[in-house]
Amino acid sequence: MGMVQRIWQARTSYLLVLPILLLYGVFSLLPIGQTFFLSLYNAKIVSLGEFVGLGNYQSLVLHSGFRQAAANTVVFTAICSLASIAVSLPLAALLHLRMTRARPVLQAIYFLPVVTPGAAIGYIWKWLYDTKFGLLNTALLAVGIEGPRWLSDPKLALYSIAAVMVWATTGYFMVIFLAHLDTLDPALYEAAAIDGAGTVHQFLYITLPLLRGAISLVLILGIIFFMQAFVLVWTMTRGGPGGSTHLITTLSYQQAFMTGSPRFGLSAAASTLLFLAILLCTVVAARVTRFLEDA
Amino acid sequence: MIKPRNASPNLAGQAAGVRASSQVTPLARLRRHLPALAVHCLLAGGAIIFLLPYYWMVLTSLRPPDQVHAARLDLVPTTLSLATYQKIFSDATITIGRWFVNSLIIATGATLLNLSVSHLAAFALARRPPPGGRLIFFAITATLMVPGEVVLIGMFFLVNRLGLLNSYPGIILPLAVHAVVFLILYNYVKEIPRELEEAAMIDGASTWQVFLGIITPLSFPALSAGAMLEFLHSWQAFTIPYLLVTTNDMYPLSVAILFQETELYSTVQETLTLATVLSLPAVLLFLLTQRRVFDGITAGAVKK
Repeated sequence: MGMVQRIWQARTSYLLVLPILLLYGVFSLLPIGQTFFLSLYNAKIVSLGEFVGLGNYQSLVLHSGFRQAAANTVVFTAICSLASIAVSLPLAALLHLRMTRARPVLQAIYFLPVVTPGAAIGYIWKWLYDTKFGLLNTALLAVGIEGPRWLSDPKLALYSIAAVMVWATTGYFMVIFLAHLDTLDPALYEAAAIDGAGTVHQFLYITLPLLRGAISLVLILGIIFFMQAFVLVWTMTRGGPGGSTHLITTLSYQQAFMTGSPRFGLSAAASTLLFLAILLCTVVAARVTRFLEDA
Repeated sequence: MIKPRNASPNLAGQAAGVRASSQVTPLARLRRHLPALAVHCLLAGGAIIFLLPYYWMVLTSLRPPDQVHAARLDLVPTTLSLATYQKIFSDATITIGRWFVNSLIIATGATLLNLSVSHLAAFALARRPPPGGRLIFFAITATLMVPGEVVLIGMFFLVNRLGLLNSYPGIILPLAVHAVVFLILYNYVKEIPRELEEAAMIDGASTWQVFLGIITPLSFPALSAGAMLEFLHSWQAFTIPYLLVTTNDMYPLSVAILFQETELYSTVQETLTLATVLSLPAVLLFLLTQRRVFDGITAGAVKK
């Protein structure tokens, strides 16, 4: 049977996948192309403006605000990725020990922030972090410590937001880890226990190596997710104080929509760079973890 | 391995256990239970860290307005008030009903749309794979790796050019691009036994009849898992509606809360009351359908 004939016979199948290809193609691919296209122009809201080639990219590299936002994005992503794995993996392992019957309840509790809208999370924590009236500093004061200015100290604000980010995503990663843990063979642990391996040794020498695949998956999901972070920063600090919490996402949004003379082209260039950085990080993370898995 | 029955965290349980087994000394018994006790303490501590912010949000929303701005640690308050709820539901500038309905329309629309296109494609690719089917599968799932929220400027220009700014379709269409739903449906449809379908085909059923009469009813668990994930995804969506809506009457609740805080300078308490109203439906929906939500998440994330 010829290729043409096989394709003709499968026409119903093609018809069935057409809607999703149209929808995903238009609303996933086109914005990427459009953003890249705009990044080459001195674009305004109503007009495309003149073609400036890589001029926008040059302006960005020279723009100190952008350099700070880029550095913030790297720090923020690194902290959040490592910390959320460092919290969610032990949490999943503890739940998996079968020492507690409360696992379903605890699992649901840890997962709550994942289903809570980001704007709500941002405002909840903005209030908890409040320097004068926040629960955190009030509690610290009760034991005689004057709490820091969590969100208005330029040295601290980014880390305060990162902590909320970890709080908000731990449950999601924990569920992924638990699902992988549930597929591990209990006989492995029984054999190890007979050989006298304690819980900690079992975790280090059985669980961790077997979870390398899950860890790399979570790492990649985390990088993609954390590099796109927007709403927590936007609700808690708007990039302030003094740009100390601006990420590339928030800065490019502000450049495009919040200034008197919006520079869409510049903002599109920043987005394009971030987009490429995320793709690069994803590929590198996938390669590195695959390399480690084979080793 | 310690059985769950013996691992009661509360001291009363421990004490009762000690009394029941007289041949083991209390100290030895405590030593044996120490790991379980430690695990429970850790897990319970974690639970408090996750629950306390919610409790504090609801508590703040329920305080008498003049008592909010005070450094307080009272976890069990003496006076509660519904004043702020009354205010946000009666104030003419806070069109909370409208925002809530917008959120419902957007989340429902995105769910129905994504579920429909994903289920059709999942059926075609899992049961009737055409030439190039693997490539199509790869293209669809590759959108999961696309950092969509990053290319906001392009999305703004695209939706503007389509004339869909400040419209429901303009928000629903981008939000319906969420390939997790496709992945769940594909994995599920692939595992449906072929016998039923083959019998129907012998009886002369068309592809459409097989899809609607056999595959769709049998896919119910996957469809509902996908529906939950997509609904929650669109309910909490922020960036897309924030970008593509500029008029007050079209905001979903997830965005209106920010507009409310920054443009109208509402109080902390009003913001947190709105946050409570915004979170409650999502949290309730999740608690009622947890199993489906977890199934959906792990369906896309665990190699079988």
